[in-house]
Amino acid sequence: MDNRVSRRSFLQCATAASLVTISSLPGGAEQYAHAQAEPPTARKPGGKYREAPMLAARVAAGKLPPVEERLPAVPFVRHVAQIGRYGGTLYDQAESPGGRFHLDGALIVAAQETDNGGRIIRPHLCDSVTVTPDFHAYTFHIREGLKWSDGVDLTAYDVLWWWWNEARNPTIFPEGPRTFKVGDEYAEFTQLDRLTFRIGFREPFRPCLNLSASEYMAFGSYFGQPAHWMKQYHAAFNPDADKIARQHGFAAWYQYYMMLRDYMHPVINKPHVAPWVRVASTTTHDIYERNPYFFEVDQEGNQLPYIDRLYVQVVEDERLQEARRSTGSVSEGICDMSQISIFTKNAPRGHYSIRHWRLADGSECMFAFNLNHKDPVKRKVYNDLRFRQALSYAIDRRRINQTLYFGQAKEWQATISPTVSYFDPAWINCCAQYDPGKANQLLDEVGLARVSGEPFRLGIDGQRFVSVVVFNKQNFPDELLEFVRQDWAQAGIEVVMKETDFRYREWLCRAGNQDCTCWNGDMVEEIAAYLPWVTKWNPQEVLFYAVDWWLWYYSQGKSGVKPPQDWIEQFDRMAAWYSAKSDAEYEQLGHGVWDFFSKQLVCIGTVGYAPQPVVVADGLENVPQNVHMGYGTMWAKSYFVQTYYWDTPERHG
Amino acid sequence: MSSPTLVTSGPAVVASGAEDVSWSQWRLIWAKFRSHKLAVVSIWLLGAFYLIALFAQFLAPYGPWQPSPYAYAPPTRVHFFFNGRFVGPMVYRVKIQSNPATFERDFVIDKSQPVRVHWFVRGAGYRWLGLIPSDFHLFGVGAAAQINLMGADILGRDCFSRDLIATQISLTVGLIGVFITFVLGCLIGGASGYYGGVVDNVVQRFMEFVTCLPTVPMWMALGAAIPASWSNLKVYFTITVILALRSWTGLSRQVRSKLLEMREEDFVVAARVAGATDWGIILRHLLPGFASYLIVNLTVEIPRMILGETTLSFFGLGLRPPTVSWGVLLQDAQNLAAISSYPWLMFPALMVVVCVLAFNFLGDGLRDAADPFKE
Repeated sequence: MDNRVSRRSFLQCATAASLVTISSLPGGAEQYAHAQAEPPTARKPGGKYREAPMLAARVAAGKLPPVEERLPAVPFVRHVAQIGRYGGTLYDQAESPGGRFHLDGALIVAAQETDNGGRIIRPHLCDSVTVTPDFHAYTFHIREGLKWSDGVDLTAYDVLWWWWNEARNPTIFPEGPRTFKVGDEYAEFTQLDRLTFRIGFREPFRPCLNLSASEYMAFGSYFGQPAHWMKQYHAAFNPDADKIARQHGFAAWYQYYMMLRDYMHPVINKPHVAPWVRVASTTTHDIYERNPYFFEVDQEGNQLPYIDRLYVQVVEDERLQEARRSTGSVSEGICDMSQISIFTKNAPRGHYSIRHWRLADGSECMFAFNLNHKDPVKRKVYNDLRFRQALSYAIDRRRINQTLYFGQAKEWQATISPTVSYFDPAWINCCAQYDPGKANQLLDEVGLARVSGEPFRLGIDGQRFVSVVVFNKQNFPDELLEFVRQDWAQAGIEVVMKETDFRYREWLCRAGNQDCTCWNGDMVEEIAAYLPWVTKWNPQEVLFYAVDWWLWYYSQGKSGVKPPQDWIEQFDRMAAWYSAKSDAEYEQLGHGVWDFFSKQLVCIGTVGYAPQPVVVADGLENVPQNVHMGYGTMWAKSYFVQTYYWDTPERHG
Repeated sequence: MSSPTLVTSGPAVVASGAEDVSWSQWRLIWAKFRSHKLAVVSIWLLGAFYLIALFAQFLAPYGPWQPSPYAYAPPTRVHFFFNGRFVGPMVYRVKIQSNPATFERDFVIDKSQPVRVHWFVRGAGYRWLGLIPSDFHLFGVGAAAQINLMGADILGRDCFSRDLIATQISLTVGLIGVFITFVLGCLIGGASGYYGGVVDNVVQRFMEFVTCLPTVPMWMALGAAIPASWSNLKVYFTITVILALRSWTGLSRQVRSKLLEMREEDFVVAARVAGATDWGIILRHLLPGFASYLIVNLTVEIPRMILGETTLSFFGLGLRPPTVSWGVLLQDAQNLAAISSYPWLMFPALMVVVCVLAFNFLGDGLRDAADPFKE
C-alpha cells in the first residue's frame, strides 16, 4: 500500500469533504484482517411503524425485536402510488435453483438508487454520499441502524472487510477487481468511522459516482459482504473453511466462498439487505421470504415489502417457461413478441393482463465491423466511413419495425439513450433513414464495383467481397438478421450471418479475426454509458471492433497497432471524460465522446426501444404502466417490486 | 442364403401346368415388388417428391425468400365461383389490419372483386438447376393479391413455395452422405470379409481406428476449420461427406461378418471354379445374397439424415436460415404460437412423415422383392 498516496487523498478529502469526524486513519489490509466488528450501538426506538402480520406474530412470540428496533433510525421512505395490503406470494420461475428470475432485480440494493431512465435519483442504502470537488474521493455514510437480515448491524467494516478479504484477495480473485481501479492503480478504501467509508482515487475518477448506484455496489453480492457470516467460510478467519467447503462438495474454501459471494446462487440464509431473502432452495423451487430488517417504509410508515414471499419455480426448459407464463403461472413475466397471440388468447383464462413496456436497448441489434481487420483490403473498406454510412442507409428500418415490432419500435441509429444529460438528437437520426440510392452511391465511391449480371459487388481489389457476421443467439428475433442480410444484399454487399458458440465468438473476436459481429445495444443509460468496461462501444469488449488500437493506446505504443489521429484524440477524450472535474466538463466531453462514436457509426443500429409485452397477474397492484426494461436500468430494480401488493392477499398465498 | 443358386437352377419356378418358363432374377424381383402395394404407392410418391424437387422453383408461385407484408397470413382459400358463376380458380384480396395495442394482425377478406389465378406467369427470377435463368411460374396472381396456399411465415414469405423448395435440399444433399456410407461400407467390408487373412486384419484395425475418432471434438474442429464465408449449404454438404467418411465402419463390419460366413458356400466355390473374378463374386453373388438386409439399413439411414439436418446447427455446421430445408422450416414451427395460431408452419412435418414412410415402405417392398422365393 502506498502510504504517500493515501495520505494525500486523505488530506484532500479532509479539506474538501463536508463530512463527519474522522475516527480512524487509513490503514492497510492488516487492520481489517483480524479486527472484530465493533459492537452495535444501542438505538432509541423510532416510533410508529407498522409491520406485516407475519412478522407481528413472530414479535409477539418473542422471536424478533419490534419493528422500531429493526428499522434504521431514519428508514428510507418510499412513496407508493397506493398503500398496499400485507401478505401473499409472488410467483416467478428460474432455470436453475438459486438462478436468475424475472424479478431478481429487486434483490439489488446499492448505495444509491436510480430511476427507470438509469439516472441517479437519491441515496438509498447510504443516507449521504459526498464527493470531493475534484472527484478524487467519495465518502459514503451508511444509514444509522441498518441491519443485515439476521439482525446484525451493517457497518463500514463490512465494506472494508469485503475489499481486503474478498475483492483484493489473490486466492479468490487472482486478477483483482476492475471496478475500483484506474489504470493500474486500485482505489483506496478507508473506514472513517463506524458507518462511514471513503473510496479514494489517485486520478480523478468520476464514474465512481455511477458505480455507487449500479450492481457493482450491490451490498451482499458484489460489494460489502456480511463479514460476520462470510468469515466462517474464509480460510483466513476459519481454519476449518476448507473442511466446510469439502462437506459441500467443493475442493477448496475459495470455490465455496465464490458461490456464497454472489447472491444468485442456491445458498440459503445468507444475510442480505434485499426486501426478500432466500430461505429455501431445492431442485424444484426457491423460496424467498420477507427480510424482517428491510430498511424501507411507505409514506404511512408501513414496512416494505407488502408481499410476504417469492416462490420461484425451477423450470429448465425455455419453452416450458413460456408455456407457464402464458397460462398465468407467474405473477409478472415477459412475453415474446412472436408468441404474443397465445398470450392474448389465454389472458382471460390465465387471469392476467398484458402491459406494453419497452426494452431499454438503444438498438435491438447493432453491427460493428472490425476496424483492425488483418486483411488489408477489408481493413481499408471497413475503415472507410462511407462504407459504414452506406450500410446504415441500406437498412430498411421501417420494414423491420412494421413486420417484427408492429411499428412500435424506434427507427433510430444506435447511440445512447435520450434520457442522458448530454444527449444530442442528431445522433439518433445519423444515417438512419432508408436511402438505397445514397447507399449505392457511397459504395461506388468506396470502390466496391458492381459487375453487371452479378448480384454482389466486388472488393476494391476486384475479388469476391464477402463479410461474415458472427453472432450468438440473442433476445432479438433471428428474422431481424435476415432483413438486414436482404437489405445489404440489395445494396450489393454480400454478408453471411453465422451463428456460433458463445465462447467461440469471443475467442475469434479477441484475436481480431472477425469481419463483423453484432450484439444488442443496451447499457445506454446515463450510468451505464459512463462505465468504461460496461458500454458496448468499448473497442475491446463485446463488439471488439478495434482491439489493436485500444491495446496500442493503453500500452502507450508498446503493442497493438497505432490508431489514426482522430481515434487517438477520441481515446484521449474518453480518458479526460472519465476524470472530468465538473458537471459542465462531464457533459461537454461526454458529448464529444458520443458525438464521435455516433457519427463514426462504429455500431450500425437497426431499431431500438422495442415494445416488450409483459404479463401481469390480475389483482397485482402498484405495477407500473410504463417501464424501460433492461440491463442498463437494472431490470426489476428500477420499478420497485417491494411496493407490489395483492388486492386479495389471502387468495395468493 | 439360397436364392442365387436357385436362379441358376432355372426350372425352380414353373408356371403351373404350362410350358417351361424360366424367369430372370430381375423379372422375379419385379413381380414380387409389384405385389407389395404400399411399396408401389411409395415409389410413385417418391417419384412425385423428386419431380417437385426438380421443378420446385417453377411450381412455387414465389421465391423462397421473397418477403411480403402478409406476416403470418393464414392459407389463402382458392374459390371457383363468384356470385354463383363459375369463373375458374380465383382468390380475394386481403387487407391487413395491424393492431399495435394487441400486437395482432387481422386479415380482412375483400370479397368485392375476384382476382383470377393465372397459369404460366412471370414472377420472381430464379436459375433452374442453378444454371438456366428463368422467371416462369406455374401459377400466380400477380401483384394485385397474394396467394399463400400454405399461409405465410413471420416475414410474410410464402410457406407453400418454401415447402416445395425445401424438398430440393432435404431430398438430395443429405442423401449423398448416406450413399457414400453405403458404397464404402459394402466395398471395404466386402473385401475384408472375402479375402480374410492379412487384408481382413489390416482393414479391421483401420476400421477400429476410424471408429475411435471422437465425433464431438471433430465437429468442433471442423466448425473452426471450415471457412466462415462458405454458404450454409456448402458447409452442410462437406460435413455430410466427412461424416459419411467416418460412419461407414458400422455397415462395413456387418458386411464383413456376413461375407466371412458366405464365402465358403457352394455357390461361391462354383463361381470361382467357373472363373469369376473376386470382385465379380463379391458384387454379383455375395452382396445380392443379403440385399434385403442392406436395403433395410439404407432405408433407416435416409430418414435419420433428413431429420438430423439441423442437429449440428449449434456447432455452426448444420443447416440454418436462410437455407430452406425441411429441418430449417420445422425449427420455425417448434413453438407454442405455431401450434395454437399458425399451424400451417407445421406442414413440412407432414411432408417429412410422408417421405420417411414412403422410403420405409419402399425399403420393405425392395427387401421382399430381393428375396423372391420367401413367402
